[in-house]
Amino acid sequence: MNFITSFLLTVGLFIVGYFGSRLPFVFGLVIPYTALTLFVLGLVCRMIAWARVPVPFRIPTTCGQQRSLSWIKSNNLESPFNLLGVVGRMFLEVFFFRSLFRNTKAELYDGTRLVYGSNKFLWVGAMAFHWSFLLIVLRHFRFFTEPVLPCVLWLQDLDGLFEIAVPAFYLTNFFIVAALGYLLARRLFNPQVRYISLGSDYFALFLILAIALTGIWMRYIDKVDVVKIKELVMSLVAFAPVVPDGIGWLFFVHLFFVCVLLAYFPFSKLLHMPGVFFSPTRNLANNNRAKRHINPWNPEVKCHTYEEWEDEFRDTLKRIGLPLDKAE
Amino acid sequence: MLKELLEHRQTEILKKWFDRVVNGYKPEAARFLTGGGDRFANPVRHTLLTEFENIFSFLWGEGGDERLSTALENIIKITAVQDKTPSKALGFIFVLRDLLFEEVAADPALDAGIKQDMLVSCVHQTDSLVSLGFDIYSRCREKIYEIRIKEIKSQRAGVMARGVVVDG
Amino acid sequence: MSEEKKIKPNEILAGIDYNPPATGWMDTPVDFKKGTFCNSVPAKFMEYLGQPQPHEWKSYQDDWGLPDNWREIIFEGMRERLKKFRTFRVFMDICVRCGACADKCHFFIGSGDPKNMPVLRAELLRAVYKRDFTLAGKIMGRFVGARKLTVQGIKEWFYYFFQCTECRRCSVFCPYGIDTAEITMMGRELLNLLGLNIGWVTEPAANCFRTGNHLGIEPHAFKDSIEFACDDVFDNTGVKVEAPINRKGAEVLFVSPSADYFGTPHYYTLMGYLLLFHAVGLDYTWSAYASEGGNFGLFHSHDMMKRLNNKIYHEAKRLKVKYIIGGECGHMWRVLHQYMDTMNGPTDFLEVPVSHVTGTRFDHAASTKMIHISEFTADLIKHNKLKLDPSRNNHWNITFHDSCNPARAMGLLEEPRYIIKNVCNNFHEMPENTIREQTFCCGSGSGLGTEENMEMRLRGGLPRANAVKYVKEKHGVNCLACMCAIDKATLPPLLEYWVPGVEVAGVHEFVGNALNIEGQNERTVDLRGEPIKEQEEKKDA
Repeated sequence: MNFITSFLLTVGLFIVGYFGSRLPFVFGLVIPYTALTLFVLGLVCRMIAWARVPVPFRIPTTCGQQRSLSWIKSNNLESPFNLLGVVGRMFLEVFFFRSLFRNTKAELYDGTRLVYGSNKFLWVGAMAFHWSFLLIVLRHFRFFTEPVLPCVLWLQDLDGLFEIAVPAFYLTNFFIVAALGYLLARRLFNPQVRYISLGSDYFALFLILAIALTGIWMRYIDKVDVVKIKELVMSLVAFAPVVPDGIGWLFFVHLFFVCVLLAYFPFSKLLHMPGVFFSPTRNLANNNRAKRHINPWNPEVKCHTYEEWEDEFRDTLKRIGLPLDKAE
Repeated sequence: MLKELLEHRQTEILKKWFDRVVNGYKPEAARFLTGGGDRFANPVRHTLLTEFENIFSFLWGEGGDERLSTALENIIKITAVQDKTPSKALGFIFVLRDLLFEEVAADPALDAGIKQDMLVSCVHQTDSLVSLGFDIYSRCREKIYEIRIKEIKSQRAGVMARGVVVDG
Repeated sequence: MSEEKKIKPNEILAGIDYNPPATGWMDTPVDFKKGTFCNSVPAKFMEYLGQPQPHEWKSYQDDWGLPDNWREIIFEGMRERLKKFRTFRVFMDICVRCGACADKCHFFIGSGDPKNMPVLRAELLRAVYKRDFTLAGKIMGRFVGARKLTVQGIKEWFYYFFQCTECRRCSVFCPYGIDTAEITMMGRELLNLLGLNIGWVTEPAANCFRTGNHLGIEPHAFKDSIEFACDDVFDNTGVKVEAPINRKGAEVLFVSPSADYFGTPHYYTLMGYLLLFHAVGLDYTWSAYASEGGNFGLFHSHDMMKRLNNKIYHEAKRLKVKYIIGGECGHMWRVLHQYMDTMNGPTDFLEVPVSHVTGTRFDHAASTKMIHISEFTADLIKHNKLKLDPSRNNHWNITFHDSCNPARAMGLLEEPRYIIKNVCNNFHEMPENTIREQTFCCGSGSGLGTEENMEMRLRGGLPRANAVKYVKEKHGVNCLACMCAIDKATLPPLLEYWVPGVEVAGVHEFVGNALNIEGQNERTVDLRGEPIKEQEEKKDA
């Protein structure tokens, strides 16, 4: 049900994008600017909102030996004691999904069969998806600058290393579609994951898949005029928007999907991208006993002081001969 | 005869047995039970698989009652704490009986008389499993209550010890 | 034949007797089954602690006696906590429901109940956050997982937030470090605002607040039990040990969980401490006022945690000690390591701990000035300051259970292993994915270790017991060592059910057994009073 709703929603967006190509001014200028504004403002606001909430306690999840006695080897990446360790831990988490990788060793199943836990697939799928997505976004920078930055060109060459087709087939195109297909299939066919999946979980995958597929379609099948597209994009970048004639409808669909993604981003679970940097169980050092952590709202609470306790148990204390602070 | 017939089909029967039993769980639990994780990450699955195999091979007297009973106990210990009625906790034995019936009935090479004998034999074997199972189930439940009472007592003991000290 | 055919195999469910839910989790109501929940708190304990909405109610009854404005109370409580805890805010926003945590929870592994998947446990709160605190939830409703908070939802919270042991195993596997313990703590604080809590958490908290310890042991009984332990040490070893209480001017204040002096097998660990301190001539004192290291406030609310923890520094200051040593306990050390200094520090009246025997400065505790006893002991052993005879533990074949909090909130992994390897001859690790940071909970932590909850405890403890069973069968292990008072109380029944024949012991019990002390007798019995030789022979036979 959730799956179908999300699928229909994506188809609906496709149709809107298709008809949008007849309103190039709205779909080529107004919507992209609006979406980008929403994206930037939404994201900034959300991050400010997070940052303004204090971190009252230092509660890292420790996944390795603490730093204690000098002769016990501590693990500064899994249980970081200092900033360097925290940076290293975050680096592995953000770029290599360290936690997702855990528990993915090959296992002997029932003593004989060697299998890989399903989480390994999840890790591979997640890595393939996120890295491809990142590289594709970076590759698109060739539309945003004139002249094209050398590093973008270099990336493009690397991505198209296997010159399978003309124009060169990008590896990332393959990987992102395959990974998205896997992630979708997993949500659909693994009852455990299907049970926890919400409509928005499918929608995010469909949306990105739609962006990828329309992009591939434009590049290899129904080719669009790249020169004119760059003209449009450059004019948008320069804040002097002009919509050239003769850009294929497919581009508007692609662009519309991107705009929806941008606008949707700050209000959805896609916030996990900036969010991971804010996660107190990962971004804090496990040096609690060495350095005091300050809670800005540390409350005054009612405690039971020694004096009150002594008053309550005075007779007993006297009888059993424990020392008293006050005689009476 | 029956023994040979079943041994020949052992792998298939065991697989069907496990699948049918696991399908009694909610799908997301069933997926977990059929899916990933070694014997430590997924103990219920491991226990069912291993002990089904044991029960199957001990059923015709190879291991003796004691080993059969251990195998049954390892499964029933789990089902006895997973909020089930006794009939549900022992349901896996009935699943096996149905499977054995199906196997015998499906063999075209057997004539009706022999089939009848075999079916009777299946009933006897699974009946003995059921009676063993009932004993084990009530033992497990008794154990749980015994443990609970022990805990209540030891909590009381703390209180009483304090009481004694107050008086003394 | 025809009769048998009527029985459809699929109708006879060998598994848990659930029917596949035709409905999603949002529409599957919670069912309070006996043996799987804890008793509700009697009003008097809520009143004593000055907690909101004290009233008498029973979790299995329909009417929970909620105040008329219960929804506003919850919303206000959530609003406040979203402003105070970044964890709460961020964890509500960023979960992608990838499912990596799903099969990591011992309660899910043992029960198969989908709402025991950590992600769904959190989703119970997140659904309310989405609907009433976010724009997307207001517009898109169920599509983004928003759900209206109903009384049924409150019951669901109660059932599942008191079915999480705050062990943090899921947070090890979460790619964003979402910590279900944190979610559960928020959920429990919110429930407490409506006067909904469990007896096993609130009563010990009330006791601790009044007398200084969870069991409500008053000073005379405390003194008696410590003295009993000294006598038992003498009976079993011939060594006369001193255990000063409330003594001003000692160098060290020693704080341990109260179960150590009133529970078994904790008690043998206590005897171990006493022998150790005597052997190295530690100048220390117990406190009858701060007679509890454990802190059920952790399972109640942040405020309660601070209120109960306050005693330790307060007492250290009054007794003018230099530093503090803490005994073997799990959640106690989560509080001491991650909360105490922030809540009740700074500790300018104490000094950085320095071992009087080895001269080692414990710089990693430079701010809290409190060290774990296993750090203290490991340092002594490393410097060869203890005379040890490990053969006195030969009747034990040991494996070590990492308690959740020292493992995942502290990283105390090697110290106990180093000690065990030096005081025992037979030690075997459990499989890798069941120890250290991946350790399985005892299934009874965070205040759930009460007898009415036994079936849930046995389910949750299955993964742990299963690994113990493995090493028992493979290596003949007969003793599960651990360093947590809750473990010592709840693992024995767990093992009695799943793996009969395996005992539970604290690490310092072995230390006490192995220690050679001047003036000791022949040491024919161990700290449990069991003959050492005979048992060894029995084992050989």
